[in-house]
Amino acid sequence: MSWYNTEGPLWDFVLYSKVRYIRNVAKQRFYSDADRNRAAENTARLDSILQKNGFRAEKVAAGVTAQALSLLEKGFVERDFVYSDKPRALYQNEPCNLLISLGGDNFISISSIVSGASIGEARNMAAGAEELIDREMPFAYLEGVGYLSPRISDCGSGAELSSALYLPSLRLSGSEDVSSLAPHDMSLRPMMCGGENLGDIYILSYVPHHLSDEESAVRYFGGAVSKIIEKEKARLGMIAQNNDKNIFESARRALGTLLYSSALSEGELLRLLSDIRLSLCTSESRSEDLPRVATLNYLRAEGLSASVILASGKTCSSQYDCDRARAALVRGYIEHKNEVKNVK
Amino acid sequence: MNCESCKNKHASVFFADESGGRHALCSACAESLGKISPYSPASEGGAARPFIPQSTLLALKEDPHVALYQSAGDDSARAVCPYCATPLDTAIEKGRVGCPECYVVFSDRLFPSSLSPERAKGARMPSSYKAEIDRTRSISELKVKIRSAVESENYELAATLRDKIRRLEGSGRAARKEI
Repeated sequence: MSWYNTEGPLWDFVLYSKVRYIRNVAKQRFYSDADRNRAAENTARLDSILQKNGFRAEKVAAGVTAQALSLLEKGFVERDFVYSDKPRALYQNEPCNLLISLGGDNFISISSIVSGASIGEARNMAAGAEELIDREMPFAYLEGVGYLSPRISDCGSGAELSSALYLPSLRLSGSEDVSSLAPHDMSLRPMMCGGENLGDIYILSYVPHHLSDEESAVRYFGGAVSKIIEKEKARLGMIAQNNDKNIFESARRALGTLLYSSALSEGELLRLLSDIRLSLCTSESRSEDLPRVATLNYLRAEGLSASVILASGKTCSSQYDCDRARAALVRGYIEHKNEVKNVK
Repeated sequence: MNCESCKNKHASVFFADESGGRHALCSACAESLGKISPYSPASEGGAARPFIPQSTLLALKEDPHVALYQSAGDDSARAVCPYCATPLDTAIEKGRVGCPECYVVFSDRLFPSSLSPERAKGARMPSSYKAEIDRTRSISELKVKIRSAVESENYELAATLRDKIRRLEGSGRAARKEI
């Protein structure tokens, strides 16, 4: 997915916007309860529909693999997709920023991830794909309940609007009351890595009601993102006024550490990238030598543990090897390719 | 509602017969008349579960809303979905069901009456469902037209409208038979 190498609105603060629909097929058992033959039959039927419409099938090996964990780390698939023992498949449509996974608790998960604060664009893409599948394979739906899921609590719109937000002021100001930033019907939670909140990234998510107008829901969500960013900018402005030199110095130190360290842990990488990003947000005039936001986003996504293990051909037999591979990846991009181009 | 067989106990088993007639029995009568198996499959941990005759299942497939389920009192825990055999108590305990029809069969137990059918104009719904709503609306409109055609003694128009209604109703039945 190319969300990390194309610029979008409010890109300094919004890493990506994502819309996800979970759907199940009407008139048959839910996928998690279906027998393997029926599951394979449905997967094959959708495979032909998607391949006919420009989707490319990704190879997904069975079992809990590094590849599946990497997809989970990046937010491309759900947890139950990774741990599913049924046939599963993954399809991409790169030009349309679409990712469709089959398998898991809910059979079909349609995601659109786009750069920056572009939730409307993400929704249009996801809705197009959803209608394409629905025409060929009607979804389970019940008046008054909405789209049906094997989990009773998942019934409803089956939609989730979310954005990954970079909010460093929360750490710098020592504020811990994250939930107060989001409207009461949305959730704002830290993006966890290895059980810790690292890199000052937060996920704002909203599940609209299935009886409500979806376009209004998209506008409402977009408004909430804008408000959070406005507040963040105001807080960062105050921090920069008092602390500008330190922010820039810490960015320089972070860049030096990234360039010269021989091994990097996941947590260390995310913290250092956050320091550089903070400098870009608060003091743009002095950022010529620093990597671009695209590079930071790319390194953030590719520097996660499962991704590193996958990138180095599963040769990382120890944590130290993994940390070395991560440091080499970071050096390669900062020294030789300060800009991420044609990332696949 | 009392059991239609013994007229004494509270009815807790509801089902449709081959001709579509609806019946209500207490669990004792249902068991003695062979509507509930006193023995459960070993895979279900020994809990007694309703036995559903094939004829009843066929009737249910024609009309999923004529559901066989036990809805009240002490027997509620023994209710099962006639399509996938998911027991109601398991569904409630685990928060999971086995098939979309479970939501129809158990709707009054899983979702209290607070559900509102009011839908905003831009709310998302499957295209097949939209088509079904359009079909139902068309049939209602045609029925109004047929009434006025009969009143004005325009029998030729009434016959055309009747054929249209039959075609629309037929397409709906064909769609339901896919279940």
